[in-house]
Amino acid sequence: MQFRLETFVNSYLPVGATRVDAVVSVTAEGSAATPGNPLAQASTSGAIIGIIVDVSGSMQGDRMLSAKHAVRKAIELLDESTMFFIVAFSGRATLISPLHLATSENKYQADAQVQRLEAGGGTCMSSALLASQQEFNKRPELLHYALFLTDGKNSDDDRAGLESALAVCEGVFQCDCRGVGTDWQPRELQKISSKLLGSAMIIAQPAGIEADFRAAIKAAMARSIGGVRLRLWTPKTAKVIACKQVSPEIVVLTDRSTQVDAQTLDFPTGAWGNESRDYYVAFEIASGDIADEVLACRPSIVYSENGQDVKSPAPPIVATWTDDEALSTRINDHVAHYTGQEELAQSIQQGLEARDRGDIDAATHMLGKAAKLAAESGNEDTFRKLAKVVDVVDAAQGTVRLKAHVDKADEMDLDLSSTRTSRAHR
Amino acid sequence: MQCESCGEAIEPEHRFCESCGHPLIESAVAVTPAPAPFAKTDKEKEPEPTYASSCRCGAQSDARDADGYCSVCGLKFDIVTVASAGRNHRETILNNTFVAITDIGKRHHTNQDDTGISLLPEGTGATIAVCDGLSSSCAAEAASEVAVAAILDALIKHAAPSDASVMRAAISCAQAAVCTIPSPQGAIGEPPATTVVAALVNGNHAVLGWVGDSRAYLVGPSADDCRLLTHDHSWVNTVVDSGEMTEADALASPFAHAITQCLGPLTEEDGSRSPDPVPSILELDIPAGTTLMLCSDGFWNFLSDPAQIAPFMQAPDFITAARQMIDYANGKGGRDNITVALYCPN
Repeated sequence: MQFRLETFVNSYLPVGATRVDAVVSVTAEGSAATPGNPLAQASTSGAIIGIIVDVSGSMQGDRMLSAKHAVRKAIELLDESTMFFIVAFSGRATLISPLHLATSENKYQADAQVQRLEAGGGTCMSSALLASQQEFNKRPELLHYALFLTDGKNSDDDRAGLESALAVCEGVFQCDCRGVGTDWQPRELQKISSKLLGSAMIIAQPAGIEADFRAAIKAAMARSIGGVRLRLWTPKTAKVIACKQVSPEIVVLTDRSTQVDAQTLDFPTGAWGNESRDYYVAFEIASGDIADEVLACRPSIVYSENGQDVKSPAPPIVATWTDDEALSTRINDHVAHYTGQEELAQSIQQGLEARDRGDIDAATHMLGKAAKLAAESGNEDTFRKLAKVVDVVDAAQGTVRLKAHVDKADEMDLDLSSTRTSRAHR
Repeated sequence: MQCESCGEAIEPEHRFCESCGHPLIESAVAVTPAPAPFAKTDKEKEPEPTYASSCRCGAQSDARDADGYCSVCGLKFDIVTVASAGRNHRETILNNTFVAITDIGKRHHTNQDDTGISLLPEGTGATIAVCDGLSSSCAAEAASEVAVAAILDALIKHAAPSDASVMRAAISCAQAAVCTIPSPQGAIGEPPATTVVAALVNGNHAVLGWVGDSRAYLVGPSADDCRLLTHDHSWVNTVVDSGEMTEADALASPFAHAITQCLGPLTEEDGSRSPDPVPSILELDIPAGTTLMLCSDGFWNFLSDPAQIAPFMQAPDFITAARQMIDYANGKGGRDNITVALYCPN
């Protein structure tokens, strides 16, 4: 596995400026962990895949049937070198299949337990996360991934419990969250998925669970290296003021660093397969004179291999002060693109919030701005989802009309996918 | 026609002056074209830059990383020597605060001028020197080189407090160093000898010291900014100061370029060792917006008034200004080696 890093910097600063903005683009290559690839067993230390299924009362019927079917199909995908477990939860969590290798026999046993599940009871998400964390900790050296399926909102009694469970689970495993139907809360799932470095998505129709699970499990098994950190070394007098993953989606990492030494911070990025991700970083530096060249940061990707830290460096983030406005006002394409994508995400979220509280003018304005930004930046996926919530009159001008009737699922889908960005053009 | 070196009458077809041996035709050897400065040809061929001894934030060279950045404040360490074609043409550049160019000129076979800079450890200033090895002496190149190194070394070691005594001591060190240069075997001419003008600048306070006719000026883009700071140890000044001759008469004399003091182990006519030179010292505050200029006579010979420097200082940056000064002296014939050093402390 190799990491290739590029940096894109606003390299000219106006006189007096003390902020440097940059994008660090990371590409991982050479992962041998392709599902079905026999080399995978030799080259990776293996993974644990945990499946967490909501079996509260509201799951009764189609949802339960589809979930059981999807879990069966997901288990079938696991190769024998993978370990897995299954947790079912309602008001409390039950470990219906403890941590095992994914042998045919173990898969068969697990499936039998899954098919016996019955829906009933409340929703206590913290119990499911804590039960999973215990299973993952049995084999801390492996990659830890969980897939979390729910259809409702967490019990009010569990609000504090969920916070503390997330604090315990952070850094132990990664977790993708899926909400089936429309009776769950996007913010709640986003809280879990962002804390656990995963994604949150809606599965509007129960029939969609199977395809989604298959894709998620395949992606998880393709990851071959875990505990990867984005390391930012700065000069003593410089400060990291922002660090966000901005592609494939926005994940704010700024407050989640670990201090390595006085000048070095590590930001968690979880496990990697063959993929590319972009990070937006910003620094506060001491001011300099015209023509002075300053180093703001040396970024790198760090991971452990056989107990040793392996570091892949990026080109340094360097800027020069100038009194030439033509230079200092020019924003690097990558930096501009992701600034735009963040604005797009905010416009959608603020637009939907305004719509919810009945502020039609604000909602129309913000969602219009979003349509314009999505069209300009080529974010087709988001544009398509926007067009289910508003009628786009003129994308270039940002003119939209709110639709009178919007499917709740479409609104939730737009909300959740607002942080998914289009990649900056190479 | 007259020889421009000694003033004797010459025949047009002669290649050398019968009287003094001065070459009368620009030979291919003598004319060394200056390299195109900063023409980036091949990345590999770029010389390893020489970094300043400290960062402007005060961090010492151990804080400098492999790419030249300061690990404390992130600023790139100032780069000292940037372009060099050996001794014949060397440009020493330190961002926008210091530029020195020494150039062989058009007539001499060697460059006997030298110049250098050292930054003060706390990043508060610099020491600068310009030396002009005497052509009449043997080892003139070595003399100027040794004198620059010795004076910068002495100044940097004893920079604080920066006052006249430090400068006197440093010039005395340079004198001692020049006296240790062995005369090459079978050398003709006088022992190694050189002029010196040096500056110790701390903040905007400067201490100047000089021996001979290398000069210091305050210069700026306006004619009012430009004035001569030093007073040459020269025959012209001696006779003009004593009232013996008018300046115009003195300048017309064949002795116009003779100097009355220099560094080196000189002897009297009776063979006894001459006393050590007595340096002149001047302390001043460099006014904001003005620049300190040190130069050899290869440049100032073409000036009749310090105000003539102002147009050069209107260039967009120091490098351009200094190059234009060198070009100007070469355009006037480049009879001597040319050295110009510009330092702006603020």
